[in-house]
Amino acid sequence: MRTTPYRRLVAWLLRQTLRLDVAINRLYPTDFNPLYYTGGLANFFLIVLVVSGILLLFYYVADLEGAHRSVAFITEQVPYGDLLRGVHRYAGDAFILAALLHLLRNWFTERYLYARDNPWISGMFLLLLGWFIGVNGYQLVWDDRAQAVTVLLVRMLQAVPLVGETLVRLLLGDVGVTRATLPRLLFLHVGTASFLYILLWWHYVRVRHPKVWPPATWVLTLLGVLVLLSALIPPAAGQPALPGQGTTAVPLDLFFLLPFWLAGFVPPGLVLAGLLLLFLLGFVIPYVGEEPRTDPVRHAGVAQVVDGNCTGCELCYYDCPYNAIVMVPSPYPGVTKAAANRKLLAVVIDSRCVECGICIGACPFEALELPKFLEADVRRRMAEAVAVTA
Amino acid sequence: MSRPLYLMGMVALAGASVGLAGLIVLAEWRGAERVGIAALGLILVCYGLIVLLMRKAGLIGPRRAEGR
Amino acid sequence: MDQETLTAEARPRTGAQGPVVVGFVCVWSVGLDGLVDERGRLRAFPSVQVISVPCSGFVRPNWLEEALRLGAAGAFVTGCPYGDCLNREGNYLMRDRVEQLERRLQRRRVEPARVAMLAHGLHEQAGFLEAVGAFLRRLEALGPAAPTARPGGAGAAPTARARPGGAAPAARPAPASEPAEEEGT
Repeated sequence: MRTTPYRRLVAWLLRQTLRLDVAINRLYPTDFNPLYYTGGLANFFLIVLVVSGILLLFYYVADLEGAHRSVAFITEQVPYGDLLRGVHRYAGDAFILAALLHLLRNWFTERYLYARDNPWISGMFLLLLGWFIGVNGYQLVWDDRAQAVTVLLVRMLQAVPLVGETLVRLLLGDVGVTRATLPRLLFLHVGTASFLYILLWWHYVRVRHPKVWPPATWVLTLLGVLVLLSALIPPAAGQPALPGQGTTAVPLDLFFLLPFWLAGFVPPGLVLAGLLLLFLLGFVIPYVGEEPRTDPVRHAGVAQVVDGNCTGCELCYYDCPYNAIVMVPSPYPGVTKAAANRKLLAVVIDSRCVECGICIGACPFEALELPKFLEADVRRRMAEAVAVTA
Repeated sequence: MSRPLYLMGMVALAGASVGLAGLIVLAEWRGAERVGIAALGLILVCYGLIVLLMRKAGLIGPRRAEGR
Repeated sequence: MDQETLTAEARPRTGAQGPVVVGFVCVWSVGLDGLVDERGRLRAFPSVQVISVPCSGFVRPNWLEEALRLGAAGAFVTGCPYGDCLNREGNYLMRDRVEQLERRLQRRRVEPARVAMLAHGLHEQAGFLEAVGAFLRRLEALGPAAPTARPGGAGAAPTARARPGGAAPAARPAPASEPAEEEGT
């Protein structure tokens, strides 16, 4: 295996990640290990965000004066309103944290090979949009922090060549902060959140039985932690935003607002360029630094259906974790006696196959083979093993 | 750890949950809303731990897709 | 070694170093560096031959049976910890298949304890070796078995019947009912 410094780093990170597994598996049964459900955790927090968001929407007023007033109303007058706000805010932080854990784990365990780059690319978009939705959320409160964030965001967008002003107009609804701004921000917040579910369809489409929900013990415990946090650190709403107010020091949310802290002393255009660079680097992870596909076991070739033997029993279709096998009406009868009367034929979709060989294990009729790891090879090696070792 | 120990743990957590529920009522009565919310959070954490102890004691098994 | 030349003398062998075992180990699961020698035998248990596979789900239960037919005392499959299969479901699928295989073996009077499914992660070499050691001790306790009795009284080894397509007789994993055996029925 070609060991570039990048590959050595990733291999080391993989070992450390899995060492963490060993420690956690001592506390939990292995199928409860939260690190095996990082995607499910992110989805759980997303559902919490949607439900708490809908409840908040009942009270929120989207105009320049009403926004802060309605948020203060929720915090002070609505029974358990600060619980609602707190859960919404901390679920947002938790969502980003879970998504990053998911990204890191799938990166270090190389779960992006072959057709699994689909979940990776859609996942990068999910992370980006999730971050943007969170920033919007801070803007919707329309307090001094929101004003600071908005000013910096506008400066960042203005730094984009050619389309900068158009982007600012899209963000604010008009050339500056006007009556159209908050309804526009609310639309960006809720509309993008709805679009996330379309991206999630893309994210799941190439896998069978995606683990979309963590085990019950984690659902309860994490919900409890969110509630506890909102009691211990109630989300504040600062002073109402006033036009023309200078940007003063405001409390920062590490998960969403770090770029804005940077933009306080680095030119905002540079911050935006840096974010874009990070995003692009994330995109290329499945494609660069991969070992050449020469290992005859890890890269044994796309599964091939042996037409003559396939009886159309569908066992491979049900077992493939990537929906890479489809059953088609058999265009001609098979060769073996069992295959002669078949109605269906299995077909492997090459672009979806990750060369794992699970279908070979599922097939009772020897109708599937991995080109570089044939059944005959296995049989020969077993025979050698038994002959030699005795 | 042995099964009786897990069961004792579950009972203790259940008792703590009842106590915390009482704390919610008390906090509402005294107008200290944040205490009530913290108690609610702790109740949920206790429930999560009860389910974990149930799993370790063998009372519940893995999720159906993952083979009973 | 050709299937046709196997005779009833293919009893489960115990070599000088212990029961002969064939182990299929997934490349993504337990790290084998340092555990195996250049011929693929475990250094700790030289009678165990390891075959690396791309996923624990790649293994056909038929191969485990065949290892026993060829004379191995036992056969096992090792995958990733449950919940962490790189291919998401391979180890669960293999565990189900091994359970079904154990039931089939029982019906054919072969000790189901001769096959096993293990699950160990990259760093769990100690746990893996311990599990293999326990498996070997289990096999030693079973002792060398008599040639397996088949319905219809055929001998221990099947003869490969000529079929179009060259497929050897294969056992069908049946989820519910027991299908008719192809050998000796």
